[in-house]
Amino acid sequence: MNLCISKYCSIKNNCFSVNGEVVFANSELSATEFLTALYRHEQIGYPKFFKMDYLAKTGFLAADLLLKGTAFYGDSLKQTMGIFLSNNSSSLDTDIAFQKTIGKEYFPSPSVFVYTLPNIVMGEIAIKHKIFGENTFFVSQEFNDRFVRDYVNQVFVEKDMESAIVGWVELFDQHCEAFLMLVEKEKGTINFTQEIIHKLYKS
Amino acid sequence: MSTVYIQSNNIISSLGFTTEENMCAVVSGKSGLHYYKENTLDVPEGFYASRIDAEKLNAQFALISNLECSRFEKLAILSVHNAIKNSLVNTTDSRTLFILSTTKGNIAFLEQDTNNEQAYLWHSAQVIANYFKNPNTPIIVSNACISGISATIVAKRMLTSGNYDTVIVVGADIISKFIISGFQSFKALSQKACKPFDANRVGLNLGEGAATIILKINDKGNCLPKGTITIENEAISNDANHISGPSRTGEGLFLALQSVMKGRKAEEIGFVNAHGTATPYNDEMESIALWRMGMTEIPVQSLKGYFGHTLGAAGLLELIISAESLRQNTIIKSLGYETCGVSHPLHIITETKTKEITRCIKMVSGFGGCNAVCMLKKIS
Amino acid sequence: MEQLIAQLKREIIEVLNLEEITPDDIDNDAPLFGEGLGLDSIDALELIVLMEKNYGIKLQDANQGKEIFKSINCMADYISKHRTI
Repeated sequence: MNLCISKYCSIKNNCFSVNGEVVFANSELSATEFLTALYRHEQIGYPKFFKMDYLAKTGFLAADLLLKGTAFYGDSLKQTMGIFLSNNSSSLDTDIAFQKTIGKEYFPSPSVFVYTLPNIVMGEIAIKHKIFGENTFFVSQEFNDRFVRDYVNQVFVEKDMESAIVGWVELFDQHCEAFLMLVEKEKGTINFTQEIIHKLYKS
Repeated sequence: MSTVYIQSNNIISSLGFTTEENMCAVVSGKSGLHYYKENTLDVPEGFYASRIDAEKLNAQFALISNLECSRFEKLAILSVHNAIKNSLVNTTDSRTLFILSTTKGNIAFLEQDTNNEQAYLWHSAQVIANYFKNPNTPIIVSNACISGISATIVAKRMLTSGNYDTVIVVGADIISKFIISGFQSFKALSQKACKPFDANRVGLNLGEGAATIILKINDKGNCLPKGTITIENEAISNDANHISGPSRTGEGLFLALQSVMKGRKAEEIGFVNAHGTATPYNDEMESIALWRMGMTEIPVQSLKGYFGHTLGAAGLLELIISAESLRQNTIIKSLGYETCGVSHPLHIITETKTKEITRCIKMVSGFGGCNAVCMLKKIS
Repeated sequence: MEQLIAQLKREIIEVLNLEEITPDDIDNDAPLFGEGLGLDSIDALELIVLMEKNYGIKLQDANQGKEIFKSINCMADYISKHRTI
């Protein structure tokens, strides 16, 4: 079984790229303003975007633009697609926002609380694109390309997964970064190996 | 064909510091739930929960170490320590991996300081792995309430991939103002002891706990001792429906059950340990999924009436009790249940009793629309 | 009442992150949930917080919200009768 990265994208330093080519950039904006600018530029048309926290916005945007133009885009039911994401700060950015709602003025906000779990970003991606497969969120100090590659590979080997969205989605205090790969069986020319993942992530 | 099995385990909860203590308490019908009045943990409204006594925890931890670390880390370290005792696990071996399952870790630190490195989950995971002198970067699974089963599944795959010989999975979460107020904002908490699947259920109770399982793989065709519990099959899925409300058709859980039950008949399953949080929607969703699978005749129970919902520890803690149930041929009463409160009547266990059982199902669901199911099998 | 309705609309748009909606887009009698604005269960919980924070009205039961949040007019009516701040 040969696993390939059929497409990849990244958000880094207010620059959005697909397969290594810059698609949209704007260094004048803050990181979170950039997310909204990217959303509008790509005309995604999904009002729920504005209810998401910044981590979910980051991952949702990256995933949407990763799938755009592929057979997976849209609401066809995808039971054999998985989502495997990781980050450094879990949901800390929103945790701090929620903490503010339970300070001296105690009015805990449910719409903030729901995002104090890092896996919610996968829920948002799954909802829009009707992805029913495996989904697991990992936390690590740095992107653990070796573990992610080995683990996702094992899921492809053992289960009936045909494709997966894999990568790193990080948002904390205006530091925003996403690196997502669309991994498929026998499709594309970029092999899903640790060395290649590392190279693409760092580029 | 290789088999992944539980070599040893531990539970720490308000019911005790060992699996044996916890299982005994459960079999005798004892609940760890209590009412905590307003202003406990600085929360304006009172709440029902299962909390671990701070003095007891500190005293137990002091017996093994004088390491300065957080309550959350003490709980996790103590649980792993207790699981490792009397096992032959070498935690310093590079073929041994640690996996931590938690939803909020040291989140309480945000109350004092939002710039605190201790609030990062990888910080706690490293404290735990360093304590046991493990050379590998610990893996952290943070996937809402399914974290414990997800972590178990990750562990199994790290063994079947051949990358490791032993995986130590520890799950823990502690109750804090952060977590209680969040669930209160969702109006998800019950002001009384929770009643899973009951017609009068109104919500969940939170619980504190830690649980550890040590998984190994038998890939040399050796005979495992009678009574060994194996992870026979597993699945994770998503409802793709809503970020907090479970699917009204139980879609994700149904798909996960379908995957795990492939090749098996309902009669082969001794019991189902449900997520059974006692919220109106969760329990209804689980009944729908079981009905769609034709599994409504299988005895079902929830452990939330004993332990409360222990979040990142829940999947692991309840898996261990389920494993003990298999080992002891005992099905456990679903505490809090009186009358059927779901649209597809289930065979809720109303009395703890002996039953010859070989297999069970453990299922969990969580915010983000995620679901996970595990099938356990006893070597007989 | 008109002032309350205008204020309520602004507050709802802000608190529920209805970025692409203006107060003029919200019909005073249109259902807030289901069709209309298409709000969901989390929005309903957030409106309960808004009632308490901005108007001092504490709803004990989330189910009370079903009647009160039927439309902007319903909400404004209830608030004007029960507000404590």
